[in-house]
Amino acid sequence: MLERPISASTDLGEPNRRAGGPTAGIRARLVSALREPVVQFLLIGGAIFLLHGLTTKPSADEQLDFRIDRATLARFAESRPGTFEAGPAAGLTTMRPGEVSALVEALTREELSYREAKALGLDQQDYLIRRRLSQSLDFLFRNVAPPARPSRAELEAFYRQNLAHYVAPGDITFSHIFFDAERRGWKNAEKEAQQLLPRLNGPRGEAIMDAGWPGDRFAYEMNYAARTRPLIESQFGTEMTARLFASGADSARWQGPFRSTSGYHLARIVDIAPSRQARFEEVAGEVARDYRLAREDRMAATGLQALKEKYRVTISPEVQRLMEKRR
Amino acid sequence: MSPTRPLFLASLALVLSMSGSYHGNAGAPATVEGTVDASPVIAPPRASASRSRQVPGETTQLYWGDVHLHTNYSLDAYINGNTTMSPDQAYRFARGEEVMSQTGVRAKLLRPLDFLAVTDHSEYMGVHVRLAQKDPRLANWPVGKRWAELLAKGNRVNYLLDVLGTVQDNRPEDALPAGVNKSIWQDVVDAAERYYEPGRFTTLIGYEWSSTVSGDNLHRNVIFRGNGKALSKIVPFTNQDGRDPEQLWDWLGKFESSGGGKVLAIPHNANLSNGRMFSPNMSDGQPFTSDYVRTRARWEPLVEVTQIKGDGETDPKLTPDDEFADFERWDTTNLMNNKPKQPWMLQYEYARSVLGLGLEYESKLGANPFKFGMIGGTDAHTGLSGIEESNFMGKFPDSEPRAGRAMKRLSGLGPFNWTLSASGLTAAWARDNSRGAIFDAFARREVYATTGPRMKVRFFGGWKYNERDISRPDYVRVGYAKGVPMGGDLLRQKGNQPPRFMVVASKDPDGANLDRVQIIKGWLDANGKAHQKIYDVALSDGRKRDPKTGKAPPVGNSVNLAKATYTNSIGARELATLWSDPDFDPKTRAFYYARVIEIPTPRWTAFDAVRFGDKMAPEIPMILQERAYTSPIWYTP
Repeated sequence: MLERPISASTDLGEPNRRAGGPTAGIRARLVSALREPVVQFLLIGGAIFLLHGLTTKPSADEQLDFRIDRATLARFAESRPGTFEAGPAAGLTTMRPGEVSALVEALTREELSYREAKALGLDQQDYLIRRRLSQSLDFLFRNVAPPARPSRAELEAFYRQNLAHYVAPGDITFSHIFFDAERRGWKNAEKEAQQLLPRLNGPRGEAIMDAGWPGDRFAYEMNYAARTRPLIESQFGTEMTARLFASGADSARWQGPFRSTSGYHLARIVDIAPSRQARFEEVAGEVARDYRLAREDRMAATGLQALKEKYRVTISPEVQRLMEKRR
Repeated sequence: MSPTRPLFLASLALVLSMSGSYHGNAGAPATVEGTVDASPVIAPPRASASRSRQVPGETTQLYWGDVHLHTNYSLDAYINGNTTMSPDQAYRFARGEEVMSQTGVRAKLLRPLDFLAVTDHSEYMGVHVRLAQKDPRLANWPVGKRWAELLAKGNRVNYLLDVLGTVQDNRPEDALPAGVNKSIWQDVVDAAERYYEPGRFTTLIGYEWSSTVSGDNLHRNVIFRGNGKALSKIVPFTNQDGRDPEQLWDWLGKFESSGGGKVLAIPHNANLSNGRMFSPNMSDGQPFTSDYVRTRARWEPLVEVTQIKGDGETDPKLTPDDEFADFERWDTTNLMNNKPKQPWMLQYEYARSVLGLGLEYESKLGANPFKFGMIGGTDAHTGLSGIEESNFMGKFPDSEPRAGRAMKRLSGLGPFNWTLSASGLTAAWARDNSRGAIFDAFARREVYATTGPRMKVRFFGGWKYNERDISRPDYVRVGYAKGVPMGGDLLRQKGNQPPRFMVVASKDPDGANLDRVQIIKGWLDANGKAHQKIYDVALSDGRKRDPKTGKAPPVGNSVNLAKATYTNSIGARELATLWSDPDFDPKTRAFYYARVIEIPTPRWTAFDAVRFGDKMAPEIPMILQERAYTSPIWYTP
């Protein structure tokens, strides 16, 4: 699947020399994460090197070393907009010596001042930069492997593991005739609804409706098109909503009476889409989206867990007590 | 410092670019092998297309949403601490899912929204996210380096000033490297596509153009009707591209004529513009021309009149007789807080006054530049469109729910957080819940603003409505058949008959009762000067206006602050009336809009006091009367 695998030895210097030691745990963890079917160990070289850089403390000598070779300079130049017109590959050769010197000087200035600022701990003092760095690491964890190209089988498995997330909420499309209990009294409202129902479903039903919509003005709507259950519940109450959704759709027939929180209703139900499990085919797009996010979250969590195992985090007894109290 | 570090970062960049998928936070959509085509990733409608989802003869349904929300792609959101709440998180929260907020609060809406537009500032949109992602194209971008240096020196204030200055200035050397803008915008478009589910949840594609002249707010949200395919071809217009609204409209015109679909612009926070938003002059200081007023009317059919940074319907200094005018006001300064408000500025900021100015221009220049409908938005920068009083998610991460937030200052230096208004919301009367239908409701102004609750308001104007019509079960059909809905126009009829208005307001089905319905009228006198008047057209609890003062007695108060509760023992569940204008003059221009007032309920500060045990200072308001403002209906002789 990977077109150009990156090997640790070609591009990335000499990471293996310092393998083991403090990085071993993290590496093992990451490698095992990468072995998960979804991650497909595509970038072990890059990932190991990445973790190596993060976790290995350099010796004093190394801290003061800065070697500028062609590759370093080319990468630096490439990241500066407008440095090369012909593209980085040809760039260094076509540059005038003075320009190369200026580039070396700029790289040196940046690298040394960056290192020194870090050595002085300047990056520690501002929460903004701390947060930025911490987020950069999070992004790094999330992008250790290239974007997922899950097979249909993998997506279907993900869908099956998260069935509850793919429930279509259910909705209803209907018109209603309202008999206002406040205006008519509960008993009368019910009686009048009962009396009208057979007439509406009889041969003169259409004529009655044509003469004008019977009943009273309802506080909300007369017609509801594909509205969800919570909305219907808020306007009619839970009891009537349950009965409405349990009825059969039949756009040629009035049903009821239904008792709501404000009176009685006759309903002509055009369509009911009950709450149901969505089929995989219907939600494939959503599944792919969720799969991607879940995979990124898992990679970030794996990275964080590795850090937690690398560092010793101790919590003072006082804070422990506070944590337990809160709980 | 290990010399390997720059190498590994560079190699990481290389890895990412080689994988051909450097798409930032959102990442490339996963592609699916096999028979399922998930590209573009749009969830199909869940119902089978053959089934009828319409009621025969149905007109419009009510949908609720927010078209003003920022995520970590907005520069000011990011520097105020929102580093993780992306457009994906914003859509998830708005459609009702639980998300973890930036500050670790488990956040979920009590009621999901029907539509959402993520409107991040177009200026340097997404750049901080990309800097954090180590986008190789930004590695040596001078502005990014300048910011990193300021941060490294721990100079946060200078850093913030530099960031804000960069946004407001237009220095060629600050321009982003080629291609970065486009790929960031593509993230935004892709996220909107991922969550669009017609019939259930509409994502409108948009952004905020953020021109601030001399510290005065001229910001507009740009909202598109179209889908991701068309919108992938553009990059948003920024303050660097042009700081005058005329330039933005020009861009909108070019966008439409290039075939990208329909678009509109929505101003907001005129209350922080020190009179500049609806100033009587064009950007070059010259008085309005007839071209200008037509162009403005063409692109700006709506104004966001209520949001977290204050409500903008009217101001007590403009309308001292209006007992509801002193509501969630931010009327002491401009956006950058560099020039105090002068009284003369208010008339050019508040919607009611500006609607009147619009009539004046129309009579002079032949078109009304301020013929706008009214909507509400949050302008939250947390990725969370959460303005329920009992569940207020704040403005920036530092005003997310936590003990003591009310007494802290907005991002450390602004006004106190307790002045934040848990507002607003947009109601749209649309044919269905889709991009096209919601946008079309915006374009015909069949929308209204609320300060948070979901009261239903129908408002029709016409000449032939009678007393029986208003009590008919199908008054809505009659409303459309014999007149126009909110946002519409009435033209002169034969005779001197006044227009009639049907207004039906029902309480939020999950919320508080209503105090009253008012109709607010604006008109021109014989000298072409605008006036306004408030009519109490429906009062709860059988109250009557005092003939001497013209005022109705207050509805009362059922709030229990000790528990942050209220009861619907006062007020009305529904208020409906047919009203005809007693002062109608067929020869003069006029506008009419409805204002619906709720009974008093606990403000978000009252919920904080109970939930966190916060002690609130006496000046902090704890009770409010929420409200809805409909779009006007205009009469033109």
